[in-house]
Amino acid sequence: MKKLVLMAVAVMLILAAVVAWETTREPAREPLPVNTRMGGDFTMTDQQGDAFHSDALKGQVVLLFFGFTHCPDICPATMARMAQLYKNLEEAGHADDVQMVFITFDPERDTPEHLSQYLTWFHEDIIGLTGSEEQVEQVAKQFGVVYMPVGEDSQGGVEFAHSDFVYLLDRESRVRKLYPVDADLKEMQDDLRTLL
Amino acid sequence: MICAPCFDRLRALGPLLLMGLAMLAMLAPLSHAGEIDEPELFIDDMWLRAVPPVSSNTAGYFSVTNTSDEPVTLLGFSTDIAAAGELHTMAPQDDGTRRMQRLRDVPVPAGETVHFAPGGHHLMLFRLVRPLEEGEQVELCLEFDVTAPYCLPFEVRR
Repeated sequence: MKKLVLMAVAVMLILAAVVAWETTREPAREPLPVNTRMGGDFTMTDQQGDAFHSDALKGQVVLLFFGFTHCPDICPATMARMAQLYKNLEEAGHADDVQMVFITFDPERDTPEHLSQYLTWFHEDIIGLTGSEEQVEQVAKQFGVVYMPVGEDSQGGVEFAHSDFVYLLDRESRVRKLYPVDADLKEMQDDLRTLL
Repeated sequence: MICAPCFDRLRALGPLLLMGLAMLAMLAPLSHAGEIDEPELFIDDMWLRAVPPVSSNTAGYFSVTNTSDEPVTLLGFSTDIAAAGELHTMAPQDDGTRRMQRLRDVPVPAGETVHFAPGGHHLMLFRLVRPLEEGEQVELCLEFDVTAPYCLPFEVRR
C-alpha cells in the first residue's frame, strides 16, 4: 500500500513538472525566411585602408547598415542603437560571433581614416567600409539601398536622401531580415540568437 | 525655549514671512530643473545628440506645448556651441527614402504639442566649435515670434 502511495505521488510530481514546463517554456520560433533577392559578394576598403572581401563575414551573424558620417540625425541614432545592442550581446555572452558593419555611400568624405575615428567612438569592433563610387553603387544595388545626393545644405555640405534599413545576415551571408532604424532592440537580439 | 521679545519680533515679521513664502511659491515653477513654465509655452525634454569628436554637426531635440489660445511660431535658435543653427526635418520621399529639409519656421498651434525627435523635426547645429561631452549641459536659445527667447540647458546624450 505504501508503495502504491509513493508511486502515485511520483506520477503526480512528474505530471506537474511536465505541465509547468509546457506552460512556461518559450514557444519555438519559426526560422527567419531567407531573402533571395538581396545580398551577394562584394569588395570594398575597410577603415584600416585594407581591401575587404565579403567572404570575411562568412561564419558570423552580421548586422549591416548603410549611411554617411556627416548625417546628423538618422545615422548617429542608428549607430548608437547598434552599439547598445552590441553591449547587450556582450553582457549576455552572445557577441563573439556577431559582427556589425557600416557601409558609407559618401566615399569622398568618408575616407578610411575618417571612418575609423567615427566608428571607434561608438564601438571598437564595428567594421567600416568605403570604396570607389562604383563599389559603393554595386553593394548598394545588391542590398536594394536607395541613396542619392540631393545638393548641398546651407553650409555647403552634400546631403543625401536615403533608405535606412538595418540588414540581418546569417552565417552564410544570406539576408534574413530588414529592420527599420527604430526597431525594438530586444526583437533584434532575439532574432540574432536564432542564427547563432 | 523661545524668549518673549524674540517671539514678539517673529510675530511682527509674520506678514513679511507670508509674503516671502507666497513669492517663493510663485517662482517655484521657474526653478524646476530643465523646464520653463511661462504663461504660454512649456518646453521639455531638451537634449543634444552626442557625436564622435570627428563629427562637426549634430542635432537637438525637445518638445514644446503651447498652452495659450493663440498660435505661436518657432523661428529658429541660437547657441554659442555651433557656428550656425537651423530648423530641419526628415521628410519621407515618394521613393521610400527620407531626406533632410530645412524649415523656415515651425508653427505651434494653440493647445498643441510639437515634438522635435530623432527621425523628424530637429535643431540642426552646424560646425560645432568643440566636441561635446556626454552629460554636459549646453545652452540653446529658442526664438519664437511672440515671446522673448527661451534660453534653456540641453543635455548631451547618446
